[in-house]
Amino acid sequence: MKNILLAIIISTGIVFGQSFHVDKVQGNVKVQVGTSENWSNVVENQTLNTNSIIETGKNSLIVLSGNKSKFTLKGSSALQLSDIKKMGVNDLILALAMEDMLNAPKKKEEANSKNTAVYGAQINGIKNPIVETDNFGIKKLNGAVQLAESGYKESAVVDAKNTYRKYPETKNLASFRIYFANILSDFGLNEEAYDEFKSIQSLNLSNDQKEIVKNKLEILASKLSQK
Amino acid sequence: MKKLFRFIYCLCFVACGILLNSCNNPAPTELVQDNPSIQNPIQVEVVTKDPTDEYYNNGFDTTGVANPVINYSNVINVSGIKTTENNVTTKISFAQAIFYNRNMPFREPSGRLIGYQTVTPGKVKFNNIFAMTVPYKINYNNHGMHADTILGNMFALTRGMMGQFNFDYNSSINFQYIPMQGHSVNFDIPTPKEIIGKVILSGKIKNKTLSCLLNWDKGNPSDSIEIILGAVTTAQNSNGTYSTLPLYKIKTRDTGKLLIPAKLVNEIPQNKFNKLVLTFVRKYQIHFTGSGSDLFILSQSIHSIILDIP
Amino acid sequence: MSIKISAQSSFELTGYWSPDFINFSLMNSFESNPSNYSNLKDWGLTLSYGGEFSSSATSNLYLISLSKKIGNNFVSLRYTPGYQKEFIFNNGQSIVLQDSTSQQLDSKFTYKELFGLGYSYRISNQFSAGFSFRYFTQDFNQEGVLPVFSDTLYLVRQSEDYKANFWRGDIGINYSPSEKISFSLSSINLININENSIDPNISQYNIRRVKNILLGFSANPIDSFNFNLLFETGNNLQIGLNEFLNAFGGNLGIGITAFHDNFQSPYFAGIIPAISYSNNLFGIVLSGVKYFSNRNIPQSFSLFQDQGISNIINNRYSFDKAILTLTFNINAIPEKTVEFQDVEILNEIYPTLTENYLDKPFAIGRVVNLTNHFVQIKPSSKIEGINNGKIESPVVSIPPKDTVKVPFYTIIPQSYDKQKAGISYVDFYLASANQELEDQAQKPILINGINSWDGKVINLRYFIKRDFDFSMDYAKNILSHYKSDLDTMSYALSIFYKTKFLFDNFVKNLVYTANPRAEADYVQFPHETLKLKGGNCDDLSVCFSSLLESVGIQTALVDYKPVNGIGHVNVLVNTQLSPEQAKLITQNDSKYFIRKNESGADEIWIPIETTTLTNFNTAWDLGAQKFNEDALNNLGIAKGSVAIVDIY
Repeated sequence: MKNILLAIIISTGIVFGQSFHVDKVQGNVKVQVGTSENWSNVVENQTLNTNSIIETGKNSLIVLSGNKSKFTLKGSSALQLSDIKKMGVNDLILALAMEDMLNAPKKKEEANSKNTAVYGAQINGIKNPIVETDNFGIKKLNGAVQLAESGYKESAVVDAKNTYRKYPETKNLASFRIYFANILSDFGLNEEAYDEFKSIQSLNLSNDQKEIVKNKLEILASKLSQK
Repeated sequence: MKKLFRFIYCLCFVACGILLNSCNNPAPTELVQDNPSIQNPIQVEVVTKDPTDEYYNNGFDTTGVANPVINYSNVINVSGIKTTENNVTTKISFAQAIFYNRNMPFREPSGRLIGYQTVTPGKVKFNNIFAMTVPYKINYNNHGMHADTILGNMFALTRGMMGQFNFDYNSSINFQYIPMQGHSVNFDIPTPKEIIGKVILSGKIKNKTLSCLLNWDKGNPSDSIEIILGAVTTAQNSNGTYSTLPLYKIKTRDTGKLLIPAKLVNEIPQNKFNKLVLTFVRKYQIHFTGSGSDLFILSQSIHSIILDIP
Repeated sequence: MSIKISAQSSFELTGYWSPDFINFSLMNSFESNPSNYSNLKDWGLTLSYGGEFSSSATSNLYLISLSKKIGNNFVSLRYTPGYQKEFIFNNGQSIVLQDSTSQQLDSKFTYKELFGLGYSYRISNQFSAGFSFRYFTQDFNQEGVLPVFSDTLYLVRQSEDYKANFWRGDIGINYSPSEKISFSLSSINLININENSIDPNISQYNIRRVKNILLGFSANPIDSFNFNLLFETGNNLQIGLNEFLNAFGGNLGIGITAFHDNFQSPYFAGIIPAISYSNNLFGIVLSGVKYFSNRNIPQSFSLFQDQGISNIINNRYSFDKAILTLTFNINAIPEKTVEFQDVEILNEIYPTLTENYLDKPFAIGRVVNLTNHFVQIKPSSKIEGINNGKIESPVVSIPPKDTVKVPFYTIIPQSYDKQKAGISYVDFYLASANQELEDQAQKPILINGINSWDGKVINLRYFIKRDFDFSMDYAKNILSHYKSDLDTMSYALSIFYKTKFLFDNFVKNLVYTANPRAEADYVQFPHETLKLKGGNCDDLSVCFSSLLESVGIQTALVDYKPVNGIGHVNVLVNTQLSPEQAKLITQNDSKYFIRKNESGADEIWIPIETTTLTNFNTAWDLGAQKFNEDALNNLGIAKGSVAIVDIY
């Protein structure tokens, strides 16, 4: 018990974080709190901590209030409540940079003797299981779009980027990608936007999308060259 | 670079070797003795060559007549002789004249010349007093035995004999020779200032610390005086007397003071001698040489002091 | 003691030269340089050889000396066989021999300075001070009469010897406020120690030893010209003028010295003209002593008796001389090309952080190139108690006359196992390209015990690795109990489950956690943590990471930098699962995050809070919460307040 208490002290900030009030719930809205593995239904007048993630079913809706504002999450969306926050562009830049920082460093030397002992699985044992997608990534991107539309653009971009990583199949959704890339461009983060559009260009795009991406790249390239 | 150092080392040692072998000492500076007041120059001579030989006993006695005066044909000797023993001083005046016949030498059996036959032609007067004719006796060594012989006569005068002869110091004594034929010869012999000696002994001969300081009434420092250091034997002679042996003659300037070199007194064997005799001699001596003949005149003031060796 | 009548003491056979010249070419000149100061670099050898012009000329070794410099200490020894003066005179006694000839008895007085030794210390560039001790012998030989009483009595000459040897000690100090001026102050006859008791009859002939003070002044008002003045408080003086010019790869000098001695006439009793040549290796001085009065005349004994002599080599009886002096500078110390200015120890030594010192210097030396060309040096160091031999650091090239910072690296052997901290010493060496030692320096250094840690989380990796053998045995033992479970599960999940099994078993054995970073500088090795059944976050993270790494599971440490003085560390584990496989281990996407591996593939990493001591899931939950909040939401990683430190 003592040990748990100690651990709680370590993570003090989380427990006493900000919270949201559920003003209205329509349809199927579920919540997963903190590191919990379970989802529960959200009911009106419930208070939700920012370390919660909410998910709305088709044609569902939730209206939250807190942080002196109201936020509506429409159907088929998912959102980490802590993302409903104002960020500066500087923080956005930091958050984007952090993505690279998280990556494991290139090894300095090959000679490092990684222990090769293998316990359990045999090399030719069960193949890597494929996990079926449940479109949770798309729901998160929907949430991010609504976040952006509600004025939390920076937070939305970060949210989207995280979603691309954790749900790699969402990287192929060109319309979302173009949407968030445009936000980067709007913020004047031309380099980041250029890289993103360049990446989008390699996706399977419609003709319109191709045209948009091409134009955008030309504009950004000219801006970058003016630097 | 190391080779160079080694070379230099070698060079250094070779150089040292050469230098050390080829050096001589810087020349000394010779200093000239120009300060007589500090220390008398003294000249030391051995008188008695064999301290056990009685032959020398009569060669020197307290009369201070040093034997032998055989280098001259004719010898005239006048002396004022004082002897001090146990604070008692006795004085005798003494005069003698010896004429040698150089054609008649007398030798020891060993062949050593020890004298000549003497002659007494005519008369001799000292201060107008006739001298007596007395035998001229000498002692000699006859195959290790003491012997004496008379080589003739000589003229002699002592205060004791006639009573009226007196040796006047710092004055003169008239000498007159009256030959059997022809004119008499007459001249004055000057006499030296009286010498009054004083001996200060300190220390012990036993531990070789005996020091013998002499003082006398000083004369002319440029003249010299003689000091004869003698000793009296411990053992009696066959005739019951004790012999006095003159050991050294020390010649020094007449400055009135002399410290006998310590070794000269301290080396005297204690078992053989128990008394010291210090004889101060201030003298005039004149040597005339003529054709085939010569005359030696000696005029002396003698003071002998006899002391126990401490 | 009458100052008025003292005679000159500071006379030199080579004349009086500027102190600079003395420093390089005329060593052991105790007469004019009692402080005995010299700029000699290592060994010096001096020889003086010459002739004396009395009525007959004689040659003589005047002086031979050896000098050695050790640091700021300068020691010299000299032997002076030619420093002697002999007097012969008739002592007034004579012996009349049997053949009536007489033999005079003489006295011979011999004065010698036999040897001397000197020591000086350079206090600073401006000051040096020293002392000299010189040994003199006086031999008074007098002939006397000795009677020998044997069968016959005869006289022999016997000489008696009186000895009156003594030591003379003096002190001196040199002061050079600038390169152009120097002053010296020293004693004359300060200390006199008589070796023999002197016979009172003889004492009046002793060398006169009047106490005085010697003042020296030297200046070079114009380049290469020197004016030198030596004044003795007994009113004796010397004036020396020197002129130098560069020639034949060295220094050519001419000098002339005039000296005044109270006991000699005329006022300037003589001069000493001299020419010299010197270079780095040797020097030659050819000098002469010319007296203005005639010395080859009869000399008065009474004057000698009255005034004696004060100086063996220069007195009214001294003759003219010519002297050749050779000096050799034997420098066994090679010319330095580089030199330490200082060495700064950057860090105390944490012996466990072995490889840390291979690429991070533990000390920085400031090294100056003394030459006019580029110099390559090999720096090396040896830490007493840690290194058995020199540890070489990279070669450094230094431009001419430049000063550079030279880093020193070291290697700490794995076998080092002292638990106690202690002060030791590091020797720093600078070697030339051909391995000759140029300079060295020594500094104290703190060597911590093996459990000491410098507080840098990145360096915890050394604590993790050091116990690998132990950790592997321990981990394998645990995993062997789960062999069947692991064999039957998907291989992709095996790392995740191995981590879970290891953690649950690891935690089972622990009974306490210490206060966070209670001892920031002390870290337990894994075997210690398991033996002690607890530790703080560092200890536990190190231990758990070590267990995982030892069985090939990639880990990283999360360094939560101190806020209010308290930092925190926990562990990240690479599950090697792809993002698509996340659902296999959790339904909550905030419990993991994605890191690209080195080949560009995304992998799922999970944070584990090792201090929970409950179970794997709780540890993971808490680790994830803290990571999400501090590292991600608060942008800790981007802002630098949180760092991920990969073990490899």
